Amino acid sequence: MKPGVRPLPEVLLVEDNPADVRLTREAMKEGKIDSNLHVVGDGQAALDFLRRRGAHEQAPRPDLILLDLNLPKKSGREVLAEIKKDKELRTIPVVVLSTSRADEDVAGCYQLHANCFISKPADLDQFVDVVQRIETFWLRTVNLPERG
Amino acid sequence: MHQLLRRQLKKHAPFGPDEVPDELSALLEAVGAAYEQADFDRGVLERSLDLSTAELKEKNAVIEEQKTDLVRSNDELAQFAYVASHDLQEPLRTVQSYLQLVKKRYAEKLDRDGAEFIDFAVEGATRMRALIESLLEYARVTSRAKPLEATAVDPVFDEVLLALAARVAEEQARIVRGVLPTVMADRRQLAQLLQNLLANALKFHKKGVNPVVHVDAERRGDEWLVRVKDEGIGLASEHREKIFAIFQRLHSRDEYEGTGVGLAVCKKILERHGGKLWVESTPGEGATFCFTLQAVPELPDDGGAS
Repeated sequence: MKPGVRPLPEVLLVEDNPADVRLTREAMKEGKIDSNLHVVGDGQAALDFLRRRGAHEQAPRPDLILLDLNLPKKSGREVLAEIKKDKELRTIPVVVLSTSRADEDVAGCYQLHANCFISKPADLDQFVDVVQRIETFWLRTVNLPERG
Repeated sequence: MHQLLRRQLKKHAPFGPDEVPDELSALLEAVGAAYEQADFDRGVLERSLDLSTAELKEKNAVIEEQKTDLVRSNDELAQFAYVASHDLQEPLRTVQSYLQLVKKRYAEKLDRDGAEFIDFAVEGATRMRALIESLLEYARVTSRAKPLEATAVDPVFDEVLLALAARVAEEQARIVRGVLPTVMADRRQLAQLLQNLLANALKFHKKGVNPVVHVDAERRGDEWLVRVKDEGIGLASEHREKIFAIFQRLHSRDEYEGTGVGLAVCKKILERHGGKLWVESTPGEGATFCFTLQAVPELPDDGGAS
């Protein structure tokens, strides 16, 4: 990336619940950071997107992955495990965003090298706040590796 | 003649089995009869032994089956806990968020009734979430049980006080702690037990009176009796059992917050610890919650020999 040229960050949201997809979009719209939000609805599609397979041949490499755990076809855990096993993909930060607060889910995801685990708050304002904090932190505060 | 007798006569007697002298024949007949009786008795014994072995096998099979059932029901409970924490919460969260979004986006289009209806719906969803969380907490007493270990109550109590610090400050409560023992407990559940009892003691204080809670312990044989005594509103004797049932509440939610699970969780924790939990109270004069836990068994002193 050349200094001064800052392309829009690419964010991949892996979420099967359309209500949550919309809510995340709304929250991001209200936030200060512009980004391209790509959405896939199941674990298999997430891996296809990341490996530019099938319908996702032209997919960009995301700068950030927001991953739900309860997904059809391939679960969030499986997707996380595959990403972190893959030399090319493991440098992309994965934020697990789940309804669960179960200790076994939290511990399990960190075991699989999730970059962080966040329980989705039920309260709308808190949810918006969480999404915006994720954006600010992962797309502004931290230094990310250059896109491969 | 019995075979064995016949063989022995052949071996040892100066006469053959078929040449028994008359004077011995009565005796030998009696010996032969004794042999036959012995054979019969042995047969009976063997059959009854076979029978009891079979019975034992059957009983073992039943026990094995019950064990499998128990493991399965435990697994199911753990599974339920997971389902409750995720699958039931998610749709509820969606309901709550979108109601709030409607209220926020369309505030100026809603009249007072509309806004009020949405508030009721949000409140309902919030309460449902609290109930699910409580049910989960109740299920976890079993599904997350850890073995009992010698546990000093004092540091656990410190943690609980830290967790309740905000409420203690808010209520300007005074908590008086006596000397607390070391007991056999699952540490995390002991903390939960103390926290629920203390939170109750803080909650049910008389209006306008700052809560005062005394906590102390007393040795009773192999057990420790721990008392959590408050000076709050107390409860009538007919409610002394009822309060430990899940989702049972004595007060409206306007008066006192809560889902009615705290004491049910306490009861369940003590059940799995082999202890008891009860309340002594006079209405208007406070309540004392008492529970018993096993003391740490003393190692027999054998003079240093191992």
